[in-house]
Amino acid sequence: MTRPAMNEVYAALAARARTVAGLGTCARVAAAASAVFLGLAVPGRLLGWPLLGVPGVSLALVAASTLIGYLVGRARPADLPRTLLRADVGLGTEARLSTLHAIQDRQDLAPFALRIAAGLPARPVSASVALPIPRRVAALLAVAATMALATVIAVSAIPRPRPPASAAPSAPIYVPTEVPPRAEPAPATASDALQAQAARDDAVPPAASSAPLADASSTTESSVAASDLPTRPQSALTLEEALQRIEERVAADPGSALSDAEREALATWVEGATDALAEAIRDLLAQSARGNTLAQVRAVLARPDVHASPSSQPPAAQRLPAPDTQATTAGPESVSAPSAGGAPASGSTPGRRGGAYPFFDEGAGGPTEITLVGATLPSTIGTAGDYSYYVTRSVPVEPPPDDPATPRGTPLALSYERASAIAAGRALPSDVLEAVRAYFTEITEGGL
Amino acid sequence: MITEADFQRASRAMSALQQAVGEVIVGHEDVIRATLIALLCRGNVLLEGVPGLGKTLLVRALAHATGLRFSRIQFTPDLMPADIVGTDIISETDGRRQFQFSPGPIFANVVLADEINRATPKTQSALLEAMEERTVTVGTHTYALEEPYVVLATENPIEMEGTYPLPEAQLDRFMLKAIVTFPELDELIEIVARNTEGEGIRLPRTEVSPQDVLLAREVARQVPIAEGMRAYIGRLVAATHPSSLLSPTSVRDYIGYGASPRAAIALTLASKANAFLDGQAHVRPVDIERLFRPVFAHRLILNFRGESEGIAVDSILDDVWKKVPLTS
Repeated sequence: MTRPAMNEVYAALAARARTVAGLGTCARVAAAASAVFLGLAVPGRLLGWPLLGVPGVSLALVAASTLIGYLVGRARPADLPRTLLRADVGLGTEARLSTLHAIQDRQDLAPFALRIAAGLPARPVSASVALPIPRRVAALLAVAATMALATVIAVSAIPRPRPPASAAPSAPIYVPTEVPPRAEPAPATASDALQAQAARDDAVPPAASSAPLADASSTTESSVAASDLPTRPQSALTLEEALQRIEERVAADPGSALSDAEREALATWVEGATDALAEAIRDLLAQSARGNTLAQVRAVLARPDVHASPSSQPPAAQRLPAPDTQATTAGPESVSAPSAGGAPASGSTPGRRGGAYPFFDEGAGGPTEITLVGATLPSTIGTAGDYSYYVTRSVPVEPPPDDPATPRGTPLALSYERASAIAAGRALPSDVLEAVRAYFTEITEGGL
Repeated sequence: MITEADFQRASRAMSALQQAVGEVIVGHEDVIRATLIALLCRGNVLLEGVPGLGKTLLVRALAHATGLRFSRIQFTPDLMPADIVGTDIISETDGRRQFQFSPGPIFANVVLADEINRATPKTQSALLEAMEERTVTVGTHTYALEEPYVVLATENPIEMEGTYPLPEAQLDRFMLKAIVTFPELDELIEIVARNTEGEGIRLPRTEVSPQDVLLAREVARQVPIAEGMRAYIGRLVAATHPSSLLSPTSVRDYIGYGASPRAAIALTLASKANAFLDGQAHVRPVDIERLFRPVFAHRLILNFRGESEGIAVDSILDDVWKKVPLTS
């Protein structure tokens, strides 16, 4: 083997030695970091620490430490004589490589060098074979990886403690968008509804009960971004408003059909509408595909029952009780929302699965399942402004008076005094009043 | 500068020498190898074994095969230093009387100091200068010994009555200690046959000259050794010291004094010579492994606990060997 070729071999072996050294350092760092960070993850999870309680954060810290360890270990120059001796052991060349390196500048030992080189194998020297990763390094890496995996699994199995309500003022508020009826019979009274809700809550394990919330947030937030219709119309728009919006859109784009979101939104009104109106909506859904969407929309919009009928409210809202009927029709998940007559409508407590207050359940048709939609809300709206986002079935405020003189789009005044008077008039328990007050305080951030 | 021709010539000479001695001595390959290594490294060998195992024959065969001068000194309690190194005697030349140095038996190329532990320490020490410095001082005059020069001393491990154990300083001057063991049965039968039939044992004669031996010495000394191997030898020596972090527990428990730096030098040179005798051009791990015990065995001094518990130095050397890896 010529001297340049030997120099190439030496360089390759030195590079490999640095890599192995880097792995050695990285294995030690990984084991230590796994023990420290992931060891902290369990108490962090239990105690609700902001970062270390999250397995992903701990894993990222371990990975970053490991990478740094590798880079630091690899940055150190290789001890070539020692490296070559190790390579000799790995290759079984009986110290030939290291001896050749020792005498490469000794011309007086040329006969020895020639004899030594002749004893080297003819095949190219494989650096990975010459300097394999030490078993203890591989074992240490395996231990670190196992420890990390085990800790992540263990930490994931520990439920996160729920932060106090006041601790998360800016958390997304999940608005119920769909309230299909359930076969379960509705409690006849408010107390029955509360008991039924409590029984369901008890039957659902904590982890399971929190999972739908997370799922809902992940799926519905994207739908909010995709279209405003499926969320807001159902919570705040009437059927008439929804149809008007569709009309405007189709008029601007003649020949276009209903979008999926619009179909989905309109379909929700079919269920609670009168037979005639439901038929008209079905016709609209069926025929709009044939290109006469605008005419069909206008035809439905022209129907008097769209304006006057209770069907002008979304199905969930439609099921909300009228002031005189709520005691027998509200479901347990329903939350009172102000109606024109000053009586609560329905809705759900934001972020909760189902209502928790007796009066929310008054008059519901039965227990319902709620799909939650996340929306990013204004941080502060003050005493007046567009709080229509908040006027959902979750919010016990009165909608604006159904005064035809009031122009559409007039900002609604948000007044706890008003809501408080309504609530007091219903002889609500003090804890419920307190909840209402706290909710108002939260959404207005202290405003009235 | 060593040429390829020099290497081949020296290698051939040593091969012939090994073969010639092997034809006379049955078995004892390790002892023959140790003797040749000492010859190549300007070293001395301590042969330990009971009488009658062929130690003297080995030394005589080696000297005869190389044409070197051989002398044998039987050490006894009344042996005096002058009996070994020689003395000035009065001689008369052309009517003039003057002191003339009469060299003792130490003036040879191959010296066999038989049962060296039977002589007094004073006489034993007469060998020190010759073994280490290759000179002999008588009175105020220093005489150089002729190269190649090698002292092979024997010890009887059984008869301890009336013996004077070699002091540590003198033990350290022996490069190797070789144990001459009792031959195997087939070897024993062969020995009997060779000594009782025909003309008996005939000392070998070869074409190897003292100059060939000197050339082989030079070549063996030039055999390269890797830095990592040198470091390995250093670690082995360090591990024999109780205070070293490298030392095994047995060393800390039973060793009073570990090997000296002279041991590291001896192991390096002996490994080179061993590689050369194997026809190799560099020191291999196996060379160190083969010479580790012969070089270290007589250099470790047991402490009181080791002595009282009858600890064998060989077992401690095994621990050292296992404890110190070739690559760290």
